[in-house]
Amino acid sequence: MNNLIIKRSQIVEAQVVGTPATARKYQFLDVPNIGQNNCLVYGLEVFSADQLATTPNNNTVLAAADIPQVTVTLRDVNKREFLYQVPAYTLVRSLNGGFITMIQPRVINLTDCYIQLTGTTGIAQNEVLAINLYYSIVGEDA
Amino acid sequence: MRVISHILEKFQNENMARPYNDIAGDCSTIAQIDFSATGKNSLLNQKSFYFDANPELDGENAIITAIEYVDPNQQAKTLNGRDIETVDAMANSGAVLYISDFRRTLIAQLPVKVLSTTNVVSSLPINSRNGKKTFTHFTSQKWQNCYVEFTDTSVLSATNSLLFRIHYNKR
Repeated sequence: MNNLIIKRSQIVEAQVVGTPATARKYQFLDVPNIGQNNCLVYGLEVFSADQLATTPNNNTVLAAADIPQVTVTLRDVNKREFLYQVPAYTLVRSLNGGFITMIQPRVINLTDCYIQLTGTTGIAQNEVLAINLYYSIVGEDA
Repeated sequence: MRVISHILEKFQNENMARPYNDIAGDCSTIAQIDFSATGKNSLLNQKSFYFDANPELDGENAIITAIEYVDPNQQAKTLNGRDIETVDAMANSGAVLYISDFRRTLIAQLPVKVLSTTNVVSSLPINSRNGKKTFTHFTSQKWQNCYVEFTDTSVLSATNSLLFRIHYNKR
């Protein structure tokens, strides 16, 4: 059984803007360097407030109890939803035996990626789902 | 016979994955940050708390292969007798470890709490790593440019310390 090796990482956030609403899409906040064509994302990990109460941008992270109400969709630069409505719970490392989720390496379009809520109980306006994206740079020392 | 998928072979060949029970690294060392009431390590939100220089851990001398946060359940005090901040304090303070290279280019952002491998924490199972270390493959870091930041230092104590265990391979 393999586990992911972190070569580079970047915390990204999808913010619940306005009154929380079921099924509405909440896009990730832009981090320009992740969208470059030489950044290959090969793994990801979701954090709840139990692991990181606030992000480095000072946004409140969703509580652990709220994570089962969230799905994550990632789109690549061709607009393909290659991870579609994945339950965020399955991406929390500590809830999955300490394993980090690995994906086929690809360039993602971060601001096209989004989360959706299946319920709004306990979720407050402006809270964020925090995800650490693990990536490598094409041509960099393997 | 060992069967391995193409995608997993690619991950292993390119240092993106390895067996979770693999040896973390050839060597390991401790890196410590001592907080203080005044001076460069006085507590302040979103201040950068830098590690002391350690050329042994710089990219030209070492590949960092895993990083652990050592919490008080694993080691009660530091060798200079200071208390160590708990993993829950790391979560509540929004502690993030930044790995940077010699140009101060950001290589990685790692929330500190998830670097702990222990199961012996107050709020199982949410913190459980089941003993699995966080594997890394950092090749261009400058250790004295690596630091920790917090969004809320009110939960930390100026008499406490942060303690990390760094696994690395010598070049």
